[in-house]
Amino acid sequence: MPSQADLIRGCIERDPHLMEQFYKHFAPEMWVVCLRYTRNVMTAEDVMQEGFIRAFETIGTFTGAGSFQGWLRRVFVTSAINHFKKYYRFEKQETDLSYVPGIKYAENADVLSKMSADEMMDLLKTLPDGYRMVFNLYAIEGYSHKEIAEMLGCTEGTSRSQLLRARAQLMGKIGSMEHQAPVEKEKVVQNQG
Amino acid sequence: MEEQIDKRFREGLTHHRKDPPPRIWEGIAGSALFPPDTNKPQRKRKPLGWITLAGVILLPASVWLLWFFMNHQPDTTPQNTPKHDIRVTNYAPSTQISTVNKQPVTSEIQVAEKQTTKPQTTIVNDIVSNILPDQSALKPKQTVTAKADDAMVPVSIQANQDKPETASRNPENKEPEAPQETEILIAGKEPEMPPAKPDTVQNITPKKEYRDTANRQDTSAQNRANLGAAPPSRTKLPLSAKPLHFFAALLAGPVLYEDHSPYTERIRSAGEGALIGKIGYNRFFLSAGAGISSFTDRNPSRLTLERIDTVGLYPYVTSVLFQPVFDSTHTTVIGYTPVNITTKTHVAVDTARLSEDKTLNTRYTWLQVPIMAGCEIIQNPPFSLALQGGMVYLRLLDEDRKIPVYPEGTRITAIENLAWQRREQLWYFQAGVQARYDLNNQWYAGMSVNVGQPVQSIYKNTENRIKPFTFHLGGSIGIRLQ
Repeated sequence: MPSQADLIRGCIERDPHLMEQFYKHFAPEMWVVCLRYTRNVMTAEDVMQEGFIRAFETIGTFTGAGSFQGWLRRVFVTSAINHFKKYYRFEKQETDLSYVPGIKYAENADVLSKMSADEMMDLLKTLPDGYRMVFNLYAIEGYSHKEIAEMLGCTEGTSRSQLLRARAQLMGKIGSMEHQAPVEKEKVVQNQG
Repeated sequence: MEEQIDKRFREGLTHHRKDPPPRIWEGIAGSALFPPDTNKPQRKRKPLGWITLAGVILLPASVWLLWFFMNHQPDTTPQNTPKHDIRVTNYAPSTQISTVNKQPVTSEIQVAEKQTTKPQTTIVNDIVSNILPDQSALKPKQTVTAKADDAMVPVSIQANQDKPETASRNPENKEPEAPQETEILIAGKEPEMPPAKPDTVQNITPKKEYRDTANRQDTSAQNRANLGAAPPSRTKLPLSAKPLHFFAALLAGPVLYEDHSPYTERIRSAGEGALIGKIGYNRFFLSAGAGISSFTDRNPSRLTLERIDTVGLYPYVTSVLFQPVFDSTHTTVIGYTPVNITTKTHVAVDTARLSEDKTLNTRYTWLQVPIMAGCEIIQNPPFSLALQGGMVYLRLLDEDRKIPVYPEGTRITAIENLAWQRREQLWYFQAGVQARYDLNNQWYAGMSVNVGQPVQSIYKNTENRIKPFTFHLGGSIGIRLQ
């Protein structure tokens, strides 16, 4: 397997073989990024393809400052943001935050700690597009509300409110998962009985 | 707790890895970033596209040529030339006859034979004997002068019926009566008015005496029958009546179409509007234009499906239809209006329970630029029928595909092998038959049958080369704006 530097050099020189190796090396990680930001696989494929093509085109601008993974992830996040701006809007309807208080955070902590990555991905997909976008950028990528507002072309207040609602919905879903489990167990017991 | 959620998701997903579908790389490798690999064997392109293109061009042309040679005959009746219209269709080229006698012959018609054989004289005499109304009076004294040469021109038979006896008995008469002139038209030659000589113009007597008699008409018909001649050419629209013409039209209206494709087969209606221009020569025409059609699809599948276990079904289907736009001035079909191009979506259906959205509406707006050529093969006003073929360019301008509202907790997963991207630019082959009935000078009723197929697959990012074959049956009521 060529080194990362060789892969980057090969992409700059447009070596098809090294470009394919580059893709195979980084695709699994970037695929998860695309899935996190999109609603379904079809859209994720769009973002993935656009991200890699964009990366191949601009890889010559990578100066070596910072990690290459960080630079590449930023390319894909930008691709996802562009897709979001093109096809989606922020949810106009207000989320009923009263949905959340009934769930005790403490009760959810255990469920949250036991969740697998796939389950978390599935939870993210259930969020409205705006919520998911802001939650990804703030909670996982670590951008500030100011940066998010600049990237998405919205106000900081919008970013904050979208994040708050995203968290609320996630907590509600996690809580419902916790409550569903005992019910299913009861059904199983009844069926066995 | 909020920070716990953020931290847990960050830790759980930051380094999470998953293999993407292999078709993503195929799409990237097929982009412009990668030059064509000359080492790999290139898939030989099927010549079907070019064959289809040649077919849609040559088929109307060949039908038109067939029609032309079967029906087109020269109009042998000059409007201002009185004559006896006789065609000798079985006449040998070596025995052509021309007029040599332009001089007024007093009282007799001379039939002279110069460098001709006996059969030629016989033919000419037969013609003369059939033409002249009163053969008994003229026959003993008639002389027709004929000359055989390479040119095929009308034979002029001059006679003076008014005073045949007097004229014949006064050969010294300095001012003979102007002769009656009769032309025998030889097949295939356009008649021409012989230039009148200055000294004889004033002496020409009216000729309608011959033409106006019923006896004369009967004789002409009999002559044709005797000589085996074809009837006079039809007095329909001469091909040169409107040789070069340009036309622009607007059309808007509903249409029904049927779409056969891998995913759907249904009939529905749509609305459209287009501006079409056409330039034509005789019955050939070339039309081009641009139109916009907006189509709203009310997806009925969500009303009929009770519950399915397949989720996230995203098939897209594109179809195209053209309607004829006619020039109501009896000339040609002037263009073909793109009526309906649509892409429809079967939305995702959740497995947990039915979606709350039962009437999902999607809307697509396409730009269409048809480039068609063709010709009319039947022109019997007010009815006409035309063949046409050509190409059309499509581009998606707007897509409003609403996402259905799902109940809370519904898990939606797309079927990956159907997650193809539809092309937003397409080229279509198109060919068909168009019929029109003119209701009056402005309004017409039209009907069309068309078949079409895209040049490329309507999807990208897939190996499946889906080229839906489309069959369209359309009807329209149109008004011409010129």
